[in-house]
Amino acid sequence: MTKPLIRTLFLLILILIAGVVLPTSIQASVQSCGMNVSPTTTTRDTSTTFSFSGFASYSGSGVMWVRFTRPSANFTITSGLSTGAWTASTNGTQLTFTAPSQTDLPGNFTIYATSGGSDASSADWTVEMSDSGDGSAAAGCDGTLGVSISGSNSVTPTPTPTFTPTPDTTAPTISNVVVSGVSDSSVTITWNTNESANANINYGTTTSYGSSGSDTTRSTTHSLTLNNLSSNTTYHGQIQSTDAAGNTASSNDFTFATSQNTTTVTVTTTVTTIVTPTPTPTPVPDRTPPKVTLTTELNRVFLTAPVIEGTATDNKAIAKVEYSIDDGQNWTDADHIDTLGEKKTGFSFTPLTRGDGIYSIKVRAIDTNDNETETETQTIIIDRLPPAIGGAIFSIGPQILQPSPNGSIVTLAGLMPKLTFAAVGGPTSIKLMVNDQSVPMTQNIQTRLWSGSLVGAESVTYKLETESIDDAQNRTAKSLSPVIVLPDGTVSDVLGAVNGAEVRVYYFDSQAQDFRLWGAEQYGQENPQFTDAQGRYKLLLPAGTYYLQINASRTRPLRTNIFTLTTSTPIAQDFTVIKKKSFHFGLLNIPFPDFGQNDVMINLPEKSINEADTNFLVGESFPSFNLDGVQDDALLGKPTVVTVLTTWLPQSSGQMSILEELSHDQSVHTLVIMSQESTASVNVFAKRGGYSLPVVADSDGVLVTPLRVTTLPTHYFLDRKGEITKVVSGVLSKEQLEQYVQENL
Amino acid sequence: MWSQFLFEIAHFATCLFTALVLFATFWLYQDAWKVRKTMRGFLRTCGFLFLSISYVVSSAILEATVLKVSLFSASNMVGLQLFFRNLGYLLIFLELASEKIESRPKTQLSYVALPAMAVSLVAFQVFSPVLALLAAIFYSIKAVIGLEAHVKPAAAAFFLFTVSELLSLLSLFRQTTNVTLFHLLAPFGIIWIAQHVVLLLATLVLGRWVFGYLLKQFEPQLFMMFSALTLAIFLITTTVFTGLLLKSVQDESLNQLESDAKVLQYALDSKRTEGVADVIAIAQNPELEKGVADKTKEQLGMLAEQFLLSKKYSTLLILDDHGQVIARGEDKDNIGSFLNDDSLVKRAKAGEAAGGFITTDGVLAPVITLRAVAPVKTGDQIIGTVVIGTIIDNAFVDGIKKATGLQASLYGNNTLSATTLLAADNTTRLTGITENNQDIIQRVFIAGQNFKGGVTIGNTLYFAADLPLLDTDNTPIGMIFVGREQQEVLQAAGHSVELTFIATAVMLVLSIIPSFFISRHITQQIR
Repeated sequence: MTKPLIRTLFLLILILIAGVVLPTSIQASVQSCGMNVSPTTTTRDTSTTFSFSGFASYSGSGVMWVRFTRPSANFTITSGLSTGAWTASTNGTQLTFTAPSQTDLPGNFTIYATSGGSDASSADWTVEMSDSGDGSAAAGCDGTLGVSISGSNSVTPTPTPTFTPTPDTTAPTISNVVVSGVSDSSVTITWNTNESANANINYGTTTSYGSSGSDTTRSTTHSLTLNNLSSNTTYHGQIQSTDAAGNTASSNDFTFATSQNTTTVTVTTTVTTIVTPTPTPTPVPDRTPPKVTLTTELNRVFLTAPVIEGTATDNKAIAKVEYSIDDGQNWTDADHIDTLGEKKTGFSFTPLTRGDGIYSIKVRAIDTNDNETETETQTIIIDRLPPAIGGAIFSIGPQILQPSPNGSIVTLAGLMPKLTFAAVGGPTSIKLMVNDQSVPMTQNIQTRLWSGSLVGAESVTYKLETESIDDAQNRTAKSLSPVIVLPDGTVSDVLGAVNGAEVRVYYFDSQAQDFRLWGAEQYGQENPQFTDAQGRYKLLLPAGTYYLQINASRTRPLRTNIFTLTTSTPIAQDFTVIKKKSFHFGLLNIPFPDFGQNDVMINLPEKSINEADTNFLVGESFPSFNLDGVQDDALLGKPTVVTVLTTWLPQSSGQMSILEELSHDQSVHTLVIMSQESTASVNVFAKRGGYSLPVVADSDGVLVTPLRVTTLPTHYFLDRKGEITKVVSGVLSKEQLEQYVQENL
Repeated sequence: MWSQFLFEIAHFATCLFTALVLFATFWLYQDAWKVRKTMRGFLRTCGFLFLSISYVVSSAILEATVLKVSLFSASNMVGLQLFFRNLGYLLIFLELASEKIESRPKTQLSYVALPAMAVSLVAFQVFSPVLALLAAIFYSIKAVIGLEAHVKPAAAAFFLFTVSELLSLLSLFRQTTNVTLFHLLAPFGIIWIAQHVVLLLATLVLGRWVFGYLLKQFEPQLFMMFSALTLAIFLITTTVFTGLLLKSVQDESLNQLESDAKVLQYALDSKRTEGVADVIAIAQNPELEKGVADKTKEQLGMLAEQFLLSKKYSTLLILDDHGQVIARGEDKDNIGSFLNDDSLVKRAKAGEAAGGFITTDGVLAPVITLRAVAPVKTGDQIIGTVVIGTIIDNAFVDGIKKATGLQASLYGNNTLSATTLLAADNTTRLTGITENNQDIIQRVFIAGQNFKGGVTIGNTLYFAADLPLLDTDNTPIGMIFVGREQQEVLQAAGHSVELTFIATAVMLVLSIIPSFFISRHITQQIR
């Protein structure tokens, strides 16, 4: 009797346990999702605001994780915004929105992305959603997600688009209402709107109207012909135009009459009274266009912009001769025209070119009757300098990776840096080879700097080789600093990698004398972050004092010691967590209470790096130069620090201030060479900063190659005889500069 | 911020309560000494008085996180506190050590030798627990071995004082790299709390013992009641006053920040107006007019460079009537491009001078540039355009910081573009980090309204006022930030709090005198 009872009880307990345990292993998931992007086209070198809206079908209570991957390497994601609790983080390639708990999708996601410098056919954004904060079991979304790049953006720096489209609540403005084409049964009414809108007219013999005409096509100029009107009748009319956002503008009532060729329109307030005159018959116009020929042989390579000559002839008279250097997009007057107003004239001009590059020249002649003729496109190539790139900087989000003193860059496999550098000689393309894999480099039309993001997931040393090619097909190769990619840090236990371990970083607030959770979001990273199936985590910490804590299920918490970083440093330590002791009962694994924790010493990677040697110039004389009147003999007689820098480098003003302090030491020469920048811009920079130390511009970058500048800034320490005794990369403090000067006296 | 303030108030109250109890003990012993004036009694009486004074001084010492620079120098205050503390313990110990213990039957203990104390300056800080321990041991000997069992609570209290002193010594190890130790030893951490709890316990034990005697006589009872009441009134007043003060400083800071942000906005607007005035003046230069009319590019290039350098602008362009750049001050070889699509240039070509802020891409963050344009005219005919641009960089916000002492930043979109904020290395600017606070994004970037409140930038908490940075079409293109570290606000209030604490302590001491006379007067009246 008791045995069945015990069995039943045991069974009930098992059912209860299963009821508690099993549901935790069943995951809700996103079953399907759809997204549409707007706009679907953009222009080259443009910062575009993409708006995504759509739906998701899920079995849980919402979505926690949405990832957008750019359509192609032609786009660089800069940032993203959304409403509610969604926060965004991006690495330029992907942008991930995360919510603290499962929630409905917001109205839309806004993503800011910059398009590249070349046209690209439509390619789809990749959108994935997950109801888990780490993006596990993510579902791919369907929808209209294609975006293409076509057409050029203005070369002028234009305002960056606003962050979120402000709802359009402004109705169009109606102006220039004109009634024309009046007959006994029809009239044509034209008007303008200040934005694209459709067209509609209500009309009738009273102000109640009763009839209407419309055109659904949106435009800023509108024309509607009203037919079947009664002759010699006065009509009342009212114009309405509705924009894409549904805002409707209405004119006040106006009147018009049929059976007259000229009519008077009276529109109060917003409508203007226009009288259309009867066309006066004119003589048959001159339709013969002028002829224009170029006598200068083009389609070849020039060192500087050539003087281009030619003649223009017309049956009446030449009124204007203009030329274009951008294949007819913009025109400007020829510099010299021999006999303007005559039937034949010679002309000449020197095209205004922006240094080395390829220019599509067109010339047009216009006669006094506005007939015009354009020449075929002629191409000139100006090639004064071979294409050459300068020193580079490496950055991840807002953090600049300082090269180690020997010039190498250290990062993690999952945190590959963006590379930025200047170039002279008008390169049209720059190939970056990363261990024989090509990485596209794009030029920012505003800053004229070239940049690209390195790719690679292996923990090896990447050798960076560049090849710059200009329009004249000159090619220049250059090696950049090696990038040492460390393997990602991992969390493991005795059984292997731990999936889902929480890695938390705490930052020391020196004012409050306390640690708080590091705000990784502002640096485009995550904190806390959860390890993947391989137990990996990724951290690049800026300067500061920190400690890490690792929490994993059923293991003792692990904590590092407190450590201080003086520069942005990747954290790549492998942590081993210890399982809490537990009691096994069949399938059940009940942990013993354990409130202890393990401590571990942090091991920073910089201590074990010993790669490229930049001191190959040691012992050689500083190369001869003459820049802005400063010559190399000015470096003799005292120990000297020569720093190669640029004005666009974010740390340039900080480094300049330190060098300025050093320059007050009378026993040391200091010289700053601004590489690949114009003398005027360097002068403005020095004047604005109030620097008194000598700063010269190496506008053609002539010293880049002999000094083997690969990263910025690079410091060269010279002895009294002008011999290089030490080369050091990176921003240096005054103490470091003084130390190197003392070491190399 | 408020938790630190509450902890500081708790410290203040605990120390003053301890001081009161020690003063009561002093009163008890001086009462006995008045009857039998011996040197030993005098030593003990003075010892408790000094201990009481040391805790009064201690009450006015604030943690460095609350007060960066003390009114009387933190080291002076700590020195004064240690002096009275050690002197108090020493006198009590000397009195106890030199007193003959009335031995119990079969107990062979007479005088205990007075140990020669080798005073070392290095060990000065560890004197307090050592001396407190010695006093505790001698009280114990008197209570356990001797016949004075009634001093057992005093012995227990001194043992607790010893523990409290030892715990306070642990703050010397705050530079540890061990996280657990750091959290234990941090200001207002577990050890700090434990030290104050133990001190309170010691005070309660000693208070119960001493009031047991004092309350047997009417006059001391009255005197102590007056003193305790005065202490309570002072404590409540001080807590409420300093709390309101801190709240007021916080509110005032936020209001001031909003005004300062508007000053920065005004400074930017003035810079825009100045830019427009400059560009008009340049456009009206006869030499430049002639150069544009004749398209003498070489001469215009030199003129543009000259204007650029004299006015310290970042860029200066001269355009012809086709919108083509025919001279560029910052790079005279870089000409020939067309700016016909530029909205400001369009306005100049329509005959209008205008200026506004734009954001362009930078290496790490958007660059905010002030641009101004003006038409170049010959008579009424527009023959060209002058465009000037100046980058609103760190130097600009540095100037604001110099004038107001506040941290100032400009955001292009939601990314920090120019800032006075430094990273932990005190060299790198926090350029490039993003503002992701949804409240700010909604209010400032989307609604174009002002924001006022607490924010976190680069892991530091600030009180901030944020205003939208608008372009010429009044569309937000970024944000103006003016802020002050929250800890700095607490530290600014800390000076007032410190002064209040000191004044309270002094007034409390002074209030003892009228309390004494009133209690004596009432006693005499009753008699």
